[in-house]
Amino acid sequence: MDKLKYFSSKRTMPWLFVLPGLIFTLFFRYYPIIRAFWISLFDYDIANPPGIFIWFKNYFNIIKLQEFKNAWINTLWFLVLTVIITFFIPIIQAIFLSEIKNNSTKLFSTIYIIPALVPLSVNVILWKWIWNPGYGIANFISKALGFGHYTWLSDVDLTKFCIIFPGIIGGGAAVLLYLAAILAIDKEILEAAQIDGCTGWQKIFYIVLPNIKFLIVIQFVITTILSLQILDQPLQFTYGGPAGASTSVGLLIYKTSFDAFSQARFGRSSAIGMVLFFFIAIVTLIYLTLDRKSS
Amino acid sequence: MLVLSISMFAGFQLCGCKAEAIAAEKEAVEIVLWKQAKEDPFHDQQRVIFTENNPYITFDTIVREGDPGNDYLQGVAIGSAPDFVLCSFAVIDAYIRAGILAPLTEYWENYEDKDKFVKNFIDMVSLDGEIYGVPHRGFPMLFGYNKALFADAGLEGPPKTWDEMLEYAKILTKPEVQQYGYNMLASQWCEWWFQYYVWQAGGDLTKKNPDGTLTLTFTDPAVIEAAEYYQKLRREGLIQPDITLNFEGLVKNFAAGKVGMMPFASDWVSWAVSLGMNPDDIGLAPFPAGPAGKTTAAISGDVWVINPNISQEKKDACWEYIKFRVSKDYLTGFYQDLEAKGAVNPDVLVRSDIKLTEIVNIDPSYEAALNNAAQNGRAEFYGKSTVGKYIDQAVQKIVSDLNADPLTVFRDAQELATNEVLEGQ
Repeated sequence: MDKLKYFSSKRTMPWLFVLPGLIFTLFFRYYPIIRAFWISLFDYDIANPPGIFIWFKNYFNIIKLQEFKNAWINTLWFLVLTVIITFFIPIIQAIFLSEIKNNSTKLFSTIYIIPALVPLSVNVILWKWIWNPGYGIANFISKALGFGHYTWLSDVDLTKFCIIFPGIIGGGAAVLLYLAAILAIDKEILEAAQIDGCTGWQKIFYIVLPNIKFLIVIQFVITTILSLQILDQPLQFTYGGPAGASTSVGLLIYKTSFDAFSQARFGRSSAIGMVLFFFIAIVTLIYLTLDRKSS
Repeated sequence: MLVLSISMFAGFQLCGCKAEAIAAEKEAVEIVLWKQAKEDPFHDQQRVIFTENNPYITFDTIVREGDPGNDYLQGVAIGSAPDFVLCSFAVIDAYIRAGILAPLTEYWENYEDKDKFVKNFIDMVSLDGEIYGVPHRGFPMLFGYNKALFADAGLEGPPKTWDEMLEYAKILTKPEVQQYGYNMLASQWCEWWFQYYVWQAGGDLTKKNPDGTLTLTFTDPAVIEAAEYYQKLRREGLIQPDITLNFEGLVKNFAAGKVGMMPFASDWVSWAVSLGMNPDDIGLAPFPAGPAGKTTAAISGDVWVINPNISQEKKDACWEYIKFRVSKDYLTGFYQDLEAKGAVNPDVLVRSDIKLTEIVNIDPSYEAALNNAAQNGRAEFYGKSTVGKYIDQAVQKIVSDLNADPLTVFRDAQELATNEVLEGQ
């Protein structure tokens, strides 16, 4: 009876409710990270796992690899391009949506959400047609604007841009999040600003953006994390080519592990994965610390 | 008469009982096989017959998209590998060195048909005296061309030299209808087709030392000549404009009649036909001769391999099925079935006791290409699984950047491969 009382007590019951989720998170999120670190300490032998224990030799070896350095340069470029081309679009779209005063808000919200529903693979197929140097519409537009003919995805200097550019359409859940945050701004502040003669641009820069800053920071952190982990797009667009120009760290991990001719270097790929993990963790920590300080 | 009747009755009873007797002797065993989604139904039908004759063996057949042989490595890594699988010769070396193939030498030594296999194929699945697989089919790499496009362009027959190939490609390239002269693999596994041009120019990418170690010859003049030829094809706009197109995309474009010429494995004939290409439009010929007068290309194929981490009973059962699959009757039936369906792949047979032209009718021009392949074909360059990716990157570089100096690019690739891989071999 006492045991029953104990388990049904207010202190214990909440833990019982979160326990399944906690176990799930620990097993499917944290265990793979720990296991990957463990594997990275071995010259992994898939026939007789885990192989020879080599301490941190994998880490010392990967920093000497040219493809590792190239992958990091490519990944940082992906991050820069993502921020420049795609990060601010949902904010702009949300601001536009917030200015619509009639019932069209729901219609336009739906229109902005629809691109997010298109699977990535379908998007890739569509954009490969657009970027095709032979018959793609990109060259048609480029020539019409007087810029000439380009090979787009086949050009080492343009391939990263071509992979990130489709994100310019924006849309998706981010728009809705920003819109909700903008609509949650106290109306009295906006009315007071209007009375004081605040113009549209001033309202955006001095009222709207500061009030949704918390969300912008969170989205920026998420965007950074996702950009640094980028794998699907370069894999499907170009398989990391041409000449490794779009091979990200994520794609390098995949190729090192699973390419049929890669000799399945799981120790090495795990080491690359751990380096990426720690880099992302450090960058995230820096962002959040800076944000806390500025607040 | 009575004696004859009793004998026949006894014989029938014995035949019927033989399968049951085998089942009674041997413990029931289930073996896991991965098969391709697009596998020919002939194999399913034959598996039923095999099971009737060997009732103690049952199959757990798992359908895989893509190439199950290429996925075998991942399967071993995550513990879901099949008991046996058919994989390409291209990955055999990597798999042997990774230790994920069961040695089959003992089985082979007791195999009654072992002397009826072409020695070259056995050598390709052997290392240090051990045999690690059973060759199943041989696919020579030939030179494919679209006969319909050639006829439209007024070209008679395939090109005989690199210079002719260049000229033909110019005639066949029509950007206004998205048609181009030559399919070049420039996005992945570039070393696969590039090596043929190196051989045709009279050189090689690597050398096997007497002690089994590797010497890189990326700066061999033949390599540079092949690289310059690649650049010329691209510079003159004779290849697909999208050089990130993957291997499957290239074959699809060829099947769609958008490409005049490309390297073409014999087993892709049925693939191209399944993609809608008219079999009469598929031309196969020896490769155009390079500057050294050679038409050399690789002979690939597929081979049966067994997972070393299964029980002896399962290995025995896998071996029984493999023997069935590579038997003379089976292979003869398979090619005749392909002929009945309208497209025979002009393979090089792994068995020396069967001649393809004696069991099916094939295009006479295919026969010439096959004979050339049989005389001039060879295994892929030594150490491909170890240093192939450096050549892949170098080829991608010289194709994507036409200002890149091939000698510099390949010298850098050789230095990188030496530093990253070979030191300590």
